[in-house]
Amino acid sequence: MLKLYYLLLTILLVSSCAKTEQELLFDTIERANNFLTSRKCDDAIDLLEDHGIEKSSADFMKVYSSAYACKAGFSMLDLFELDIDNIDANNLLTSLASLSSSDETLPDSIKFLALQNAIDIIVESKTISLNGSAARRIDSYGEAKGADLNFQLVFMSIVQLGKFFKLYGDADSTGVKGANGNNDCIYSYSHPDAVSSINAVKPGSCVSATGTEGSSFLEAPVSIALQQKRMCYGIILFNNFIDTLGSLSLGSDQYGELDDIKDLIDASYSGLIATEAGTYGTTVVFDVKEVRTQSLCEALNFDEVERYYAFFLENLYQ
Amino acid sequence: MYTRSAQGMLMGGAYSTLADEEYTVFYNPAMLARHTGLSFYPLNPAISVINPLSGAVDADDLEGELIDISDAIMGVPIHAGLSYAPGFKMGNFGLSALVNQRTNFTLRNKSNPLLDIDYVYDRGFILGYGHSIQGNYSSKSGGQHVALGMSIKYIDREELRGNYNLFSPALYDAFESGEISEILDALGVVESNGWGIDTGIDYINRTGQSEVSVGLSLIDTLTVLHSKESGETPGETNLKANLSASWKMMLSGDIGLVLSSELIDIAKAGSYAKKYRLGAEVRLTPALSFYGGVNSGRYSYGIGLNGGLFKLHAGIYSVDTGVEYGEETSDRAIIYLSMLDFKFDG
Repeated sequence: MLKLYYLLLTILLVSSCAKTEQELLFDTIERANNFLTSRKCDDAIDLLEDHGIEKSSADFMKVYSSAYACKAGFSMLDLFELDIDNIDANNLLTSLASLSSSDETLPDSIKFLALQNAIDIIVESKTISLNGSAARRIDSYGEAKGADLNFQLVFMSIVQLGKFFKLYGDADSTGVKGANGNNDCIYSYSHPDAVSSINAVKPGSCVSATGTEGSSFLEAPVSIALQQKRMCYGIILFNNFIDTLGSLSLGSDQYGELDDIKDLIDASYSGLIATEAGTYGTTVVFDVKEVRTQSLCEALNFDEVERYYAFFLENLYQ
Repeated sequence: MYTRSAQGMLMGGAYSTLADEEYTVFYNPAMLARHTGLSFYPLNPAISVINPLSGAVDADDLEGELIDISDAIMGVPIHAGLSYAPGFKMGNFGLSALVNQRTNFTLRNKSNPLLDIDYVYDRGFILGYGHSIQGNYSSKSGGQHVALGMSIKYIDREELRGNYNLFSPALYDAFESGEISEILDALGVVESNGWGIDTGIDYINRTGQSEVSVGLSLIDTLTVLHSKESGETPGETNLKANLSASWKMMLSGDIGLVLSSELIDIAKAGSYAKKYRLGAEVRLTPALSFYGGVNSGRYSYGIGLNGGLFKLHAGIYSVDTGVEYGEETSDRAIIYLSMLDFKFDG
């Protein structure tokens, strides 16, 4: 009996093997999701960052992005319960600025930057050539996992776009641009082509480019570099939103009008690209609409960013 | 997935040296060496569900929109299980069919809700043999022996394990398809089959009214499953080594006390706090027992009724389903009914 006991005890002492890398990764992801279940956002972030960022794992990037979204107060349950049916594909930016989560009053707030970080984590997850895309995520992570990341990105982008245009468009609770009386346009345009476009098209409240029509968060004393950084948030958000939306099938009723958006925006792009080429002989809309990474956008000439807003985003936000 | 005795679950899972009944082949085939004569177990279904008394989910919360339901079940492990293991033991041999279905799902992550699904459905059979290699033990007169045992099993498995975005088109379309089998197919259920081997060592020493037993069972010593469709990968079936010990003190007849302990899955890395099991049975009469146990700090308790032609076990137990000790608990209720068992000593 004693021999048997010692044999079994020996087995007990020597038998336990260390966890494999894969098991440790799986456990970390599970634990982070559990933290996020009870909204312990910082605990989840700390756990994931202590483990080390695993860009090769779609599940890791998904939960890492989620952890920052949690920090921003993002909730997909709230989006579906309160807002998804209010998104109007024909008045996209107005309806986004009217969402219940479109509550931004300051640029670069902690919540805004946290959600922006959550989005960047997915956008830049497998940037082989710096410019992320929905197709690249599917190539890198596979059809199912790539689609999961794209799905998560779309809905975070919806909320962040709403916050962005509510703030910089000076929208009221109904999302109407300039309704609060602080600025009629998103930006105070100075490039001759941008001024010409605004004065000709008169998009919504933005009826003339006077040099003081834009958001105070995008003009002096704010530096040009910071202005560009903030404007690039909007460009990257929008471009990734449209690119990723095109990779998903969201035709069922629970998604409202989301499935109609891509075709409408593509039609807008086509018209504006042709108008720009014919009127100004330039290809700013065509070029900038493909920029989907913050660093690439900040590397553009500022006047390209300014004209993209004047030709396209200001136009879209009627 | 492992076929488990309801009594075992109600004793905290510390049961590998006590499964000297219809579940012997599932716990430790070496214990078949204790058996003599013919025992037959034709009808023995068990059902387990989320504990309706735990208050984790209110029935009213489950009515209404998906959002309200999601809010109600966020972070709550939902469980449903069904098992059936008819079989017989003849001398040192045991043969049992196995039908085991277990569904666990948990909604996690309030920011981007993920539905974590763990579904397994096993059918098959298990054939075991135990042989005494030292000593002399008899269930009637006692004694002591060391025995080795082995069982061979065939498993036909359906399994689905994954995380799904709650609002994703994949999940939405899957549930829209209607039939359970179509939902499982849409979510990517994997079908596989194959053979496996379990082994074990059993030591028992009964002197007078006292009985001590120590055992080591190696479940899935070698089990290989092959998927039926190319491109699919069945889940892993890793070795599960369980070390257990028990002490019985039986007074007159079948009245007495049983204490048991077990360390499960000792070959796998992890906190020992999650691996320990403690159990107890107080047998007040041959027909009435009370069970209790502790499993990773979670409690279980229940009652057993033995009416001769039927046996009933019912109670509440909890399982630690988190990665780390104490992170997540699944509260469950189980009921087991066995009918028309008989034993012929020959």
